[in-house]
Amino acid sequence: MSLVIAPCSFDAAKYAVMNWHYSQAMPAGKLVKYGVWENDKFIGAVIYGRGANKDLGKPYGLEQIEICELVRVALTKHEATVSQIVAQSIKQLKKENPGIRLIISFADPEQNHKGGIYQAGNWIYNGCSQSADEYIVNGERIHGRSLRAKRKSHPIQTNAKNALIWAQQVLDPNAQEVKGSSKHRYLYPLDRNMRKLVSALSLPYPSAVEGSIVSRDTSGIEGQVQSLPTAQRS
Amino acid sequence: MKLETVTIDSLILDPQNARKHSKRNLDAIAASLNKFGQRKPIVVHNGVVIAGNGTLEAAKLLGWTEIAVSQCPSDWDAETAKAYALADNRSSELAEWDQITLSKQLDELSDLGWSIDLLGFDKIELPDFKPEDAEQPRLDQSASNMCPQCSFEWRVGKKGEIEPV
Repeated sequence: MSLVIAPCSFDAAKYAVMNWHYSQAMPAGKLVKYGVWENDKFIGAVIYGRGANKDLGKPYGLEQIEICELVRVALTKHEATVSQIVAQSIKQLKKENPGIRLIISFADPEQNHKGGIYQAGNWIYNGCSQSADEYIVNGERIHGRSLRAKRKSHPIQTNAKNALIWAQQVLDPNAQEVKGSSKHRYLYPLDRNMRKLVSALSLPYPSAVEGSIVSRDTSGIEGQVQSLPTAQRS
Repeated sequence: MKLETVTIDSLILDPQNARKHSKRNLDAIAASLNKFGQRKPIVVHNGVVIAGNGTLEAAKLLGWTEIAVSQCPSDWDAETAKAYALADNRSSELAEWDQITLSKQLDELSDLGWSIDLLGFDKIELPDFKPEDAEQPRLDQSASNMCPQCSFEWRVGKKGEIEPV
């Protein structure tokens, strides 16, 4: 089986996301898109971006141009393991973006994702992200940021004092705010110093069984749950 | 709606049918009838088929001798029958496929051993995307700016300094 990971077009990446990723949505902003080919057949894409939060690197003492987010792994049936595919894409990303020191990625428990692919790739588990505001509009769950963006670009503008009231006025009278889910956060350091720094933030992996934790060989904190630490620049 | 079974010879294909059935279409209908049997009646007005002409032709190809029909109400005139025939064809034509759901369902059935051809679909072909030489954006650099006066191009560096591009 031949496996090729190489830069791909926006259209190819979008095709993979729309067909093979649960979100069926391309992330916004600057994206590095790697296509995946097995035996010359296009089977998906791995996409990196700046992430939705401009302060993504702050907790790790990093500037925006030193950190990126693995935003999509969209694959159809494949022979290689996902961690193998992601690892190869990281190699390329590192080569083409030598200034990046840390990759971050999130696994959504709402989708029953615990981050198995990151665990298999020996990523560092860094606990859960803070829950964001989310809304139910026309029966669909929508992130607060997406709703505010929708409001901004919508032809109908009102004097509503917040996005929820605007949505109730314009989109769906039954729109409501719901408690957003927090996501599992995984880190992949790209240099030795960064590995040393973020290893100190390592927490035991969440297991597929809700509520239980699994220790990592490299964590050295078996069975211990840490509160979210704050990184110091070394 | 009352269903009845009639001999195929007693039915007449609509000579004014505005829908044409290609060989591929008839093969797909025949394959479906063969696999699933007739699950919907064809609609008949005074012995003429006004909905289901393709089904009748396919049944003939399969050598069937009888077919289930639904008769139009007895007070329908030729004009009403013609209008219904057009509306029946047009209303199904106006529906659209949800390509993602369709592709998933075809994939699932294909995995379970169903032949996609039997369902009237071509083999699922993925677009032929190739690796690209096109340069990807750099995530380790901020966006560059250009001075409108002197065209000097610069970006903000890691420590906030101005870096020429």
